[in-house]
Amino acid sequence: MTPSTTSLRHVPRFGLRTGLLSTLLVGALACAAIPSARPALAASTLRIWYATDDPTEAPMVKAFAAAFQASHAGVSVNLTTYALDDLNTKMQLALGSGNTPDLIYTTPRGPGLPTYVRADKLLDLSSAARKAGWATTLRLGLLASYNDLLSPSGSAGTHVYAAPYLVAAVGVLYNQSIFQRLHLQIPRSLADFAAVAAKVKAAGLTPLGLGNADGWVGDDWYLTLVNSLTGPQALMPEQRLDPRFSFAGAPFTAAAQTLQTWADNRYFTPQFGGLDAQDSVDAFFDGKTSMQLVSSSENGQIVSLAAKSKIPVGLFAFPSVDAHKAPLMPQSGYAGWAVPTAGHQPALAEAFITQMLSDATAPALLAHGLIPANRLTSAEIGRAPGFQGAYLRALATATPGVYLDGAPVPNLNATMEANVQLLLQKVEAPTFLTRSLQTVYASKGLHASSTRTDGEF
Amino acid sequence: MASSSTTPAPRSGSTRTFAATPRWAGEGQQTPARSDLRRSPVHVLSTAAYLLPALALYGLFVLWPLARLAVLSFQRWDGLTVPAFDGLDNYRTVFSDPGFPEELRHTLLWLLVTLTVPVLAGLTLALLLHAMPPGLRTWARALLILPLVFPTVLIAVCWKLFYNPLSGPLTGLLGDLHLDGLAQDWLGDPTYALPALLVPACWASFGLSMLLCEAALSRIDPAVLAAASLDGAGGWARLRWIRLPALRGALPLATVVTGLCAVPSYDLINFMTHGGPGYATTTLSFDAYGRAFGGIGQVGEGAVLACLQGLTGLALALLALLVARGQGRADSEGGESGVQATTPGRGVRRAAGALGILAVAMTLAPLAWLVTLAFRPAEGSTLWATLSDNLGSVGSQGLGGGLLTSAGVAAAVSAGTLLLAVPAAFTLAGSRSRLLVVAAAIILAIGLFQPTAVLIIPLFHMLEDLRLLNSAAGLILPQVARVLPIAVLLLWVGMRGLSAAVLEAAAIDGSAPRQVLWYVVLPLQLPLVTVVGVWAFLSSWNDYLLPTVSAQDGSLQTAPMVLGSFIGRSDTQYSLLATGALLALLPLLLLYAGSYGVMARGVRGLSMPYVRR
Repeated sequence: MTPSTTSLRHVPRFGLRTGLLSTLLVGALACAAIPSARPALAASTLRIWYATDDPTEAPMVKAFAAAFQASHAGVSVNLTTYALDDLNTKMQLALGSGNTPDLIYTTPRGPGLPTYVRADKLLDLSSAARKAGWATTLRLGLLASYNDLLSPSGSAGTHVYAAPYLVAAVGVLYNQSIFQRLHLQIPRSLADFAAVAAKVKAAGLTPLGLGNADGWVGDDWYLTLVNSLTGPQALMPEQRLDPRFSFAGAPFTAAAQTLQTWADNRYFTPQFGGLDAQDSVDAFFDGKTSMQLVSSSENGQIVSLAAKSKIPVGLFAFPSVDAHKAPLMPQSGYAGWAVPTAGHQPALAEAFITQMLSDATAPALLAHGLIPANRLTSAEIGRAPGFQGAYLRALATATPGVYLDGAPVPNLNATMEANVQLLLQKVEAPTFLTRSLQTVYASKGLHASSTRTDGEF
Repeated sequence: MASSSTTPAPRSGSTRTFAATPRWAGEGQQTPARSDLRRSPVHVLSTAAYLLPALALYGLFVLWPLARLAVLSFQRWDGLTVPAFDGLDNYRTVFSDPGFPEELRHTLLWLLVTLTVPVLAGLTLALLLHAMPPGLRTWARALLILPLVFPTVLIAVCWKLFYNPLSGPLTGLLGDLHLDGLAQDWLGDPTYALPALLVPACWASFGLSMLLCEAALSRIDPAVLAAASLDGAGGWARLRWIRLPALRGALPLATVVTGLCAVPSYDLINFMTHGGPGYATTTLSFDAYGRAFGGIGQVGEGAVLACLQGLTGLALALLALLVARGQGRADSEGGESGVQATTPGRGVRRAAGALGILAVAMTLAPLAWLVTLAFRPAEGSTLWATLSDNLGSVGSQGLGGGLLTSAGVAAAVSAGTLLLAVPAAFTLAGSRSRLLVVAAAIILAIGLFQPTAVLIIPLFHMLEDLRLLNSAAGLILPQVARVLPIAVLLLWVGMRGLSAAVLEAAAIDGSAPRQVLWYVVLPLQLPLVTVVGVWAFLSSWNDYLLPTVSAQDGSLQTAPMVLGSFIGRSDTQYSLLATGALLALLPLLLLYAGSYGVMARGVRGLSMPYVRR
């Protein structure tokens, strides 16, 4: 393609022109081929953003959306699922710009839903809740307790801003074969639990499954141990941001110390720091782990693996420190449906919530392994498939534990996750964890010293 | 050649360059009339017409957001309410945070390693390639630069699986070699996490350095090497005194382009460690994004951190340009023949071939693991049934639409970048105005090393103000602006290296600037233009952060966004992810295969030491 030095008229220009014009043409055509950013909306389009960190949940919830669309003539549902972190980012930006979806499903933890409520960005759904009887459909007292944490101080119990349709509760998954082989009983106290772990370790197996790359599983371990040591009642003030509450008490340090001791004793899955929660559940179903602290958000994977591996599994609630007290299951922090004030379809959004809270959704949720927030009868619990049934029975008898990291304090959860990671790696002492938590809590997140801000709060 | 009497005679090779020669419209003669012409309105207008579109877009989507970022750093803002002036409070808060020194240390370490190790690795591999048998060299080169085309999400997943302490191949490999003691909890142990992240960052970016260095090595005059051998110079002496000096022109550029690939850290950290364990892998840009967009409402503090990261990037870019300038001067005093170098002996070739195969195997090992995952049949199923299921699942979750959107956006970004960068670079390469050249270099340097994570805070609000959220334009225009600095710089460097004689001929023919550009410069620079076009395409195709933030309502989902949706904190669908990632890689591999030859020529052209006037 080098041109003649005597006359540019002889330059073989066709190839070049064609090439460049083609490039531009391709670019232009490509622009045209990009799916329209604003698709033509139906007469009534309900735009929903749904947060989940379990990708297998997406098809299920899209099926719910399709069912709603089918039962509402002229209504189109545009449901998009996002990872929790992504949705948090998008919500902050969307609420700031006023360009929000009509309905969101996201977490109340940290400054999520409570922040939106305080900024007057969410509709008060009290009237819709009363009309549709959401409180009676859900577990006893669930709607009120859920909204108490969202509402501005002084207005607890009077407003409904969001409604959950799933329960996230922490329980202990265990391998029944190992328990039978080693003649182990379900532990009734914290000391029993430690003794069981020691026996399993002595048998050459891994007592406790843990994959803590994401940080939240270690977090669950810590807050479960604190619940066991103090009892949930002592932790409730933290959820209400009571200034008299402090992380400086002995049980908070003792729980951290216990975790570190178990790590020292190699009770946890080897190399747990680099394993995802999913990896440790996979390792559990290799049959070499006796127990695993799980959140019901992992149930989809557990149900699927249990079916494949044929390993008989059970579930029990974590024991209290005292054998005479009821076991506990920390259960909070799960997501809820809420309607942004800037949304365009509040009536449709409320109708969609009513559908999601109805008893009709419960079987599909259970089939997926998820635990519905509905008020189930004993017969319905009895009909639930094996592992899900065990979960529901444990839930029915256990004391609800408190998700310490669910208090509406920015960075509290990130601080707990990061520092428990470092605690388990023996990079930090137990007192450093409690000091960090207290610093963040006391300053309501403003002094987020030594915290990790990764979008999870 | 009317101007030959006033222009210094060229040295051997092509050291007399575009910038050293008369420009278009008979400006070759050093006469008052020509000076007047340069100051003529027509000339000024033509310069403006070529430069301003690029400058306008770059200013709007890079410079203005940076300025707005600086303003935001003095405001208290939760992202929801009205921002309020807050003086230096954000700076005080950030600087007094006990975690800040650690983040700064991680950031500086990241920059230091990603700007040196990939270049050194590229240099080493270039020396190795140079000594390999030609047939093997072609294959090895093509495979070694493959990681350059991988999307970050794919790189992150490949390496995360590779490091997995229970099931990853690295632990298995060390066990097989009876080196179990070396196996670590790579991403879970705070001691090893950051180095473990730096490995994939370097792995993904050494390819361009390798190409640039190899091209520079291939032009060493064999007579020089032969003479050195006759004088008794051994292999080390030839390397120290002949080969390494020959790389002087290529290394600064290699550092810049490598830095562009490796410096941005957000996506890799986000997908692999989330900044942990603890804070062991948190960098300034990662924390900036978290504070601004993590739902904790500390946009001002995020802006402070982003400003610091931005200033670091600017310092690096200016340093790189200064080094390149000094190197250019040094190189202009040397010469080169453009002749192929001597062929090493058979023993050396064999050893180099074996080492090259090993390097290729090590480079492709993480990818191989991903392929294994994609093609591993599910329990109780056949390979084809599993593949079919996986394809159906990734299709139903929108990967098809994501691929289409990504292709459209990336093609548009590529076309837009060329449309704006080529005229701008042409004007700068031909400019005699020192002021213009220095100003352009500084302006380009400002945006050169600014990762999207730095710009994203103000950029989002600007897109919102311009009503470009959820639109294709909102994806395309900022991406074009982000690629413009390196595109203009590369083309500028390339065009400055053009032979004066050809341009003189064009000038004598009375060609207008656009004719010189269209009929002379572009045909000669087609390989380099291809490199820039492909670079822009890849940058856009692999971008995760901007589409995630600017495509608000889910109607515009790019391929990396869809792939990202397979990654969950409680359950990642590795099989689907692997299948989807390989599907997303296919178009890039096709593009790579189709343009590899032309690109290699373009990169080779770039590695020629350019000469300043």
